[in-house]
Amino acid sequence: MSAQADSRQRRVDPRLGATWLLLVAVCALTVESGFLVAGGLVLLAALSSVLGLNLRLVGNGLLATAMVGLQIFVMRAVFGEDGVLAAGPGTALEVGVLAPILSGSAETAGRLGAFLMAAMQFHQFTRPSDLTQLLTRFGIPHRWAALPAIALRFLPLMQTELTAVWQSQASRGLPTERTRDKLKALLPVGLPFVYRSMRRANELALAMELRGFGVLSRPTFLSQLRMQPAERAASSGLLAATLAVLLF
Amino acid sequence: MSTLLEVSLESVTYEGCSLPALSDVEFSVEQGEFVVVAGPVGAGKSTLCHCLAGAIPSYYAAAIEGKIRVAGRDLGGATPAELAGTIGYLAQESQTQIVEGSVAEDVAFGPCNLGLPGEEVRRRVDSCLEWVGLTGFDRRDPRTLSGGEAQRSVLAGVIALHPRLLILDEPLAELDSSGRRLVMQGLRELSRRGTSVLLATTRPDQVRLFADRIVSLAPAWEQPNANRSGGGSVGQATAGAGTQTEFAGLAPRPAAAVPGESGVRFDRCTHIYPGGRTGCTDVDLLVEAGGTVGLLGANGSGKTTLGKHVNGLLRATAGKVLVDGMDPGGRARGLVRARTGFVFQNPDYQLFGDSVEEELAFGLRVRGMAREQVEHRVDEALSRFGLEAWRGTHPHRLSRGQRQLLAVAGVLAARPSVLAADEPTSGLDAETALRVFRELSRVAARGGAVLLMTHDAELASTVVDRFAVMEEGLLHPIGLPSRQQVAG
Repeated sequence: MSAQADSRQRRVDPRLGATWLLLVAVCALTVESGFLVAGGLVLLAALSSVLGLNLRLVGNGLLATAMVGLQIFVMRAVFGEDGVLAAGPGTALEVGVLAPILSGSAETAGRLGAFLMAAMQFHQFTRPSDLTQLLTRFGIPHRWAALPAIALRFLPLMQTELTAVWQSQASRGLPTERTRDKLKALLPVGLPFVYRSMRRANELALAMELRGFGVLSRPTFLSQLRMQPAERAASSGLLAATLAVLLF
Repeated sequence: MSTLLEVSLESVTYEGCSLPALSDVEFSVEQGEFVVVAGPVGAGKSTLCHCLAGAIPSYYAAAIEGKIRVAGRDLGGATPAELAGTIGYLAQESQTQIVEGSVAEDVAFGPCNLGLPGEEVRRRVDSCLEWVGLTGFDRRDPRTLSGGEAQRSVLAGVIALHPRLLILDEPLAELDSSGRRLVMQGLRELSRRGTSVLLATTRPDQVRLFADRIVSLAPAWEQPNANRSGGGSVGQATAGAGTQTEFAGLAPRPAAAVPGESGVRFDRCTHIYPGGRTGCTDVDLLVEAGGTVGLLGANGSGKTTLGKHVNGLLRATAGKVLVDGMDPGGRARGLVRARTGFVFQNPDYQLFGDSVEEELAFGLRVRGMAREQVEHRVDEALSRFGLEAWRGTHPHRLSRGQRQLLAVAGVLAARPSVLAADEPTSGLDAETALRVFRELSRVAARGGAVLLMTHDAELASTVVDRFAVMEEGLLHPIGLPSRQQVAG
């Protein structure tokens, strides 16, 4: 975790990030070749690395995508393309049947992975307050516009809390080494985590309200969103590229 | 001076509880007055603060009998948002009150919600961060702040609202001595300028020099009629309570330290966090069996990082750590953890039982103890920590201080031979803190090794053999300082 919340990437206007996310989403949905999907995924991973995105986070995202791909593969292998049971106990599936299912599942997972990675880049390089400001400019009431930013801040905090609970219980002697131990630890780890989450949510809501959240429908912001000429140009280019992908 | 706050509460009873958390509380605060509400753990200080800030009944279901008036207005039914700008409230746990993604934005959150123009918000952010000693922290991610830094950052956010009445619940609990002095001097200055300050604390000895008046709060079940403060005389009468002279020398000195393989040895221990932040650098430290070392240092100096190496929660990036001759992060981790206890700074990370009794029993059962032994140890822990009255209470019904006490009791009930305790007395009154230190010292008296990370040097000096100071990840041994040095 970087100590500086406001690194250079984070000062990029969120509208630029949003147009980038839009382009990737459109590409992920419309590109027909599996090779292009794979190439795009590699490109996005490389870009994440260059931009200094947490590689562990990228790895976790790709792992989650692979898991989804595996599930899609199993579902397709069992039910076939038309949803009719195609495999089961005693049913032998030939390699020739499985291969296209495998490649199709991998392609779907790749599309999802590309969008996920672009979303991670957007999250990483967008300040929560900028996101709120962007949404209010789109006419969303401030009370609602603030929620995605709070949720985005809340999720990594929850991860930290879960780690802390896990460490705390492990240090009390709760076995956590083997998979069986980890399953048995679900309750002693899960319950304090849920208590903490509820307490944290309650206290955060209270703290926000005490500091005037919701008093005005149009509050001010510490720094106003202002697109730099280079950002405006880049954003226009990305929008043009999105249109091109859609049209051609 | 005009009266800003008038409190006349007959009782405050939480939903599902038969006994009131507060009863017969009556006092007032003048404009620009600095009032300290002092009381032991579980006296109802946080409940009182919640009532004053409108958090009860909006966020915590409780029945209030009585009246609270702020600036002549009855608070009955007012929501916290309606009070923003009039009342500023710093609740006990700071990290849960951080809203934004950077320190500056978080401080600006309140003024922006009130619609102040950008330049005015920026001016307030800069002055408030300077006020709490966090100049240059503008762009820091709040998640990377230490407990004390987070507390000061949230305080800056509350002060940026320029409230007429400032309510602070244990604002010094996680601060080091210089942070405490800075905050108290700042609060004193604020009250001189006309802001009324109401500060709830278990440690009036740390604040009495700065306060105009101290109001004592006794637990409702102990002294049902003790909380009426007629013009401040009751509070003033108790202003000296909890000073060092009352507890000096009470704790038994541990047995002489035994050199050898036992205990904890840090050998050029360095820890770098992912992302490059340095936790500690080249630390050499020996905590012998039978010895207690107090680890002091400012917030964020690396005390917790070092302590987490003792039971393998962190592994040294360079150098090594040995616990009873074993590597706590290596293959012997299970063995090390079986004999090691770690008291976390935040008790909520470990409490999950349906009752205090169940909570205490859990840590013993996972260590494979027989039922009779578990029952015996639980009874002993309840008695030693004064928790008998809450035996059947759900841990999350307890106050923050009581939960802290329960967490310490749970770790010590397992009788670890090596103990690392991270701020085990934060938020506890002096008498209870001393009781905790006394219990911690029993580990050393039994031949164990104790590493005590604390800001409470004054109380800790009654049980430690020597102190060491962490400063920006580096360790400086200082022996056992004189009482004057500790106080300084």
